[in-house]
Amino acid sequence: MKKTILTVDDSATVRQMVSYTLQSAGYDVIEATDGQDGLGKLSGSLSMIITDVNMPRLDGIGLIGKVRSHPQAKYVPVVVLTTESDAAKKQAAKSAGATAWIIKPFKPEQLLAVVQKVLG
Amino acid sequence: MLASLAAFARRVQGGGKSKDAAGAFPEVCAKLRGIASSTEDEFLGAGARLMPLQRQAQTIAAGATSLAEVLERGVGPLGVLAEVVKQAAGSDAGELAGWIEEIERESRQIQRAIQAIAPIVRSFDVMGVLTRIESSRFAGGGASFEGLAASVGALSLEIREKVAATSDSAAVLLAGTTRAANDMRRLTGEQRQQLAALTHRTHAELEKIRAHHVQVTESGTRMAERFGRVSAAIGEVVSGLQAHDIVRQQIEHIVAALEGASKASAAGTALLQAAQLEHSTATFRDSVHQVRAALQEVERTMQEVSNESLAILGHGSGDHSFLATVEAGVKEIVTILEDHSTADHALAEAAAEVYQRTAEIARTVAGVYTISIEMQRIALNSTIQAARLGQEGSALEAVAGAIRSLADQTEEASNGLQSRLEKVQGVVEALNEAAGLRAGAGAGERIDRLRDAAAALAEAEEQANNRLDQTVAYIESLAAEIHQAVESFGTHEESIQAMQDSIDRLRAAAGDAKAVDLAAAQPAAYTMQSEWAVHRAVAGGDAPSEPEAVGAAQDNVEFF
Repeated sequence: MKKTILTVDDSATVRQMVSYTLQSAGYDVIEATDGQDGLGKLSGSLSMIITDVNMPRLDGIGLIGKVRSHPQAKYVPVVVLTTESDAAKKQAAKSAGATAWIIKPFKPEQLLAVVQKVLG
Repeated sequence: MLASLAAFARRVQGGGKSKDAAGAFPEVCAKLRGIASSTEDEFLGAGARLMPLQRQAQTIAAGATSLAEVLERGVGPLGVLAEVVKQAAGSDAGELAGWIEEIERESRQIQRAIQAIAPIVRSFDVMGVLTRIESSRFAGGGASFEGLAASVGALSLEIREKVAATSDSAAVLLAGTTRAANDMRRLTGEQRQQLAALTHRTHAELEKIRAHHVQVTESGTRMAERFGRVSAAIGEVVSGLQAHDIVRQQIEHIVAALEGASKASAAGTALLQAAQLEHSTATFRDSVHQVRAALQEVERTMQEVSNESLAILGHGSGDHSFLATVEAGVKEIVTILEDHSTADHALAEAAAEVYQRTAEIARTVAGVYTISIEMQRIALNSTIQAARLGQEGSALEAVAGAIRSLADQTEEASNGLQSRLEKVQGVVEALNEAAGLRAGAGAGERIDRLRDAAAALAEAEEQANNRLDQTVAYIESLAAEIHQAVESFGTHEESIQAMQDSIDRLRAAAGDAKAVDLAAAQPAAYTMQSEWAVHRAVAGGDAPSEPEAVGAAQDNVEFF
């Protein structure tokens, strides 16, 4: 059965590249344009969430917090994919419950390696 | 980059303030928002085009690697084909032809020997007449030679009939062996001419196929490596496209800083954001150049690979001359072997007929021999009886003597004929044994192996050619797509110029603003280390303290 990954980023270019990379590897992908949009797409059928940090309406750290209190999605691993350089932000993401932190730009094989390692 | 920013910062220090610095900000913000929006479409388009190409390149590389495996399946049948073709060339009908010719020679000798008996038979007829004449002289007398005359007459008649039958049989025998000998000579000649040249040609084509296989296998390995590199290069391009997102965020921060600037901080803000925008423009320009250069490099590599691959792979795709020649050659060999097999059966039949006919002749000759012995007995009796008659019986004695002499000749001729007939039968037996070996398991098995190997080779070649056709089609499609990707990505000169114009506008707005003026500028919502670095370069010692930066992670990734 295919695994489903939610990608949350306000950049259409990044969403495109993440979606294609994951779909090429056999994953189903759901896209969300920011944290608020991602919140509305949470479900128990998700295998992973990949999120940016700096987004309008609800940023990535806020989203992680919401995920960890969501009744169906609280155990879904969350990988942060960001240009963010602030160590405090990284710590905040870690404290909120993030699983991994990837700095952009990413190579497709790097992203896949992280996904495969997290999902096992 | 940052060194040039520092130099720029030193240049602007000590200048005066522009009175209407903030007035330029709305125009600059509108322009920057437009740039971010318009470039996104082109970057999205390039990404949408390139990522499927990466998958295609990986598919071609995998196909090229598996091509060698497909060709490997043809190696076994090739080896069998080569071996069987060689064996077919080696089978020699010369030995059989030699025996046939010997049978033909002996058949001629037999016919001559039988023809040599004809005068004896005629002499027997004469003796029979003379015997009746001499016998009649003694009719009614004390001695009776009527029985002698009747016996001689009957025996000479019988011997004539037998010799005539033998002569007919010998003629048929000779005709049959001559025909068989001619067929064998023809077949032997044909085999030496056709089969040798044919197998040489088939061998040469098989070697060409082997060499082609090696070439394609090596090319497949090279192609797999090259397409692997193309795939990696496209991956680099995809990474480079992400720079758009980075620049977009930087522009958002610049716009936010400009829109949030007060009148008092306008000049300092303009100074700082001009530096930030200059840095973003350089990032954007570099990424565009990087992506275009990588795309063009991929296109060049694809062209080289296409040319080489089509030159080598095109040999097997659509061009079946190698296999067609081998297939035609194998068909001819099979036909010739089947002809030989048919000829061998005909030879066996002819040999059986020779054996039967020689047996018939032998039986007839045995009958002649028996008659000759009987003649000798009658002649001896007649001689004895004629001798008793004294002078009167002298003529009859002479006739009896002549009959005896003829009988002796007949006996000798019969013995000679029997020897030749036995010799012919011996050669026929040896011929049957040799022909049986050739026409038995040997030829039939070779024909089956030839057919099986040719069929297996044809199947392997067809699979390889289909794979080659697919690979060639993929290559051509990939090359065309990459060319389109290069063409459609463009140079983004307009966007870069628009950013440069905005930089100039901000610098003009900054006027003679000094680094100390930056103290009043609110630090923008920087999220990237590069933004902080630019700020430091422009503000120098007056830069606000920046938050602790994310530590360098290995390969951009950190697991919690």
